[in-house]
Amino acid sequence: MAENEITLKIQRFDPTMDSEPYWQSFKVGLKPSMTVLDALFEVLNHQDGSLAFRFCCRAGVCGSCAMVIAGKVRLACETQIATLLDKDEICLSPLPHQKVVKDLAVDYDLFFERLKRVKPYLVGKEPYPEKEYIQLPKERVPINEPIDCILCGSCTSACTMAWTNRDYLGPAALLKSYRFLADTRDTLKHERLDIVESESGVWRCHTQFNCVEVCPRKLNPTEAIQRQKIAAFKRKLFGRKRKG
Amino acid sequence: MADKRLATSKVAGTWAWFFQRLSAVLLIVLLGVHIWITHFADIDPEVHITVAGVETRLDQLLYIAVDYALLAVVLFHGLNGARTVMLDFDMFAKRHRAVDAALFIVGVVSLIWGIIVLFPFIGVNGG
Amino acid sequence: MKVSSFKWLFGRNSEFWPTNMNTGMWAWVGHRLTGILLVVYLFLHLSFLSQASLNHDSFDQLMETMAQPLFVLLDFLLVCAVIFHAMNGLRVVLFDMGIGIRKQKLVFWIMMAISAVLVLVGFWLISVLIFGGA
Repeated sequence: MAENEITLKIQRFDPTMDSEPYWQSFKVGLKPSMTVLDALFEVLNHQDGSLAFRFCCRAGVCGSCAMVIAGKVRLACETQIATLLDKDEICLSPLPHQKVVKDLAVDYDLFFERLKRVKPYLVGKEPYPEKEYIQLPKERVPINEPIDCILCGSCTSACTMAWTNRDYLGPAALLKSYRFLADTRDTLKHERLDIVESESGVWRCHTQFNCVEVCPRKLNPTEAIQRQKIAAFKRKLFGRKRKG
Repeated sequence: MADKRLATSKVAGTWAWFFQRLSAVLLIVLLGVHIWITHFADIDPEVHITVAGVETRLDQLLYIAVDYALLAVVLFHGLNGARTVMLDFDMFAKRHRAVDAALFIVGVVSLIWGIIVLFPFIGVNGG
Repeated sequence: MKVSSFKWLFGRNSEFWPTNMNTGMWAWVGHRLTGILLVVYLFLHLSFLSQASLNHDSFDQLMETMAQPLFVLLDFLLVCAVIFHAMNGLRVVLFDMGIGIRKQKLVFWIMMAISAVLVLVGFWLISVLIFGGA
């Protein structure tokens, strides 16, 4: 291997043409501060125009380019090639155990279907205020972290319970649910708890911490799930108290 | 379709989760006592367990109580754990009522069986 | 890892274990395997006990067999499984109460240290049965 060259080994699969996924290697010239996404563009632009992968913002904000890079789930746009130079070749494959649309792009239908089930939107108190709902800085603290989720799908794709149980909401959706449960402006508390305390909700979490390990934003869905377990349990124990 | 099933699901796993934890903590205590009285208390460790030994031990009400409590708790913990494992898979999650019913029957039958099994040992020495 | 190796388990187009999977994952795998093992043992235990209830002579014979060093060693492995399952289970209970969830790896290793101590104590108690008393 030349000094200034890196080998990308990419898992190719076109469901309409291929019966099995296969690996294909590409050599890419190194550039300063090159990311894996940049290298993929090199391949796309100069070597193989049929390569498929998702991308959008190139800055770790949109959550489109999550994939398995050298064995780890991470964002292609945030992974510097320089950190992977100890490997002979960099293996790229789509998110584990997801339906592949083509090559590195996976089908997010199930992911967003799961997300929709937890009602991922704020339902404020009526009558609506003229300007905005007031929230004190200290009331914002619990949601500072979960609000950062970029919905890249890494966590749900690394959770083995989400692999084997399609109904399980998965860490991303449960983190989102927690984000609204912890929000002082939200009024859907009981509906949300009803959803997460069903058997396909929080009880499928067995604290593997895979979601914490893979999260590119260093969030902690496991803790969010645990808080919802406690909230659901307290409600079971003490009954449904209406919010004052 | 999956959406509908989830939205209408009234089955909350809260109690299953809570009693799994409660029985776990109970088990640590009961199992420790059980192993201790079976293998170490009042028994020369070099003498292995015999029918006569079991009969002597089960003359005491405390030992009977520990054994039966352990039986009930361990059956619950084991079968509820098996339920958790099964519900992690689509195949069983779809039929969770059947899973619940099957495990419930297994549990009750095993409990009755376990209770009967100890009868021949109890009160043999007139205790 | 070959892409198609695990298609029987995980569909046909996925890298199997991302290497991000770490301490918590392996703790879970161990917990589940020992859990299944212990449920199987529970029913074996019950069925062996019923032999005693049905036939006292064969029970005494069975216990004699079980007192051989090989079976005592198997018993010891069972004790190890119980200790791991119990200590890891305690760790899960702690997490469910919100204790140490941000320091899960540390908690895991603390629990494993306690398990190691308990296993050593167990071995010391059981060794009398394997090697004969002093």
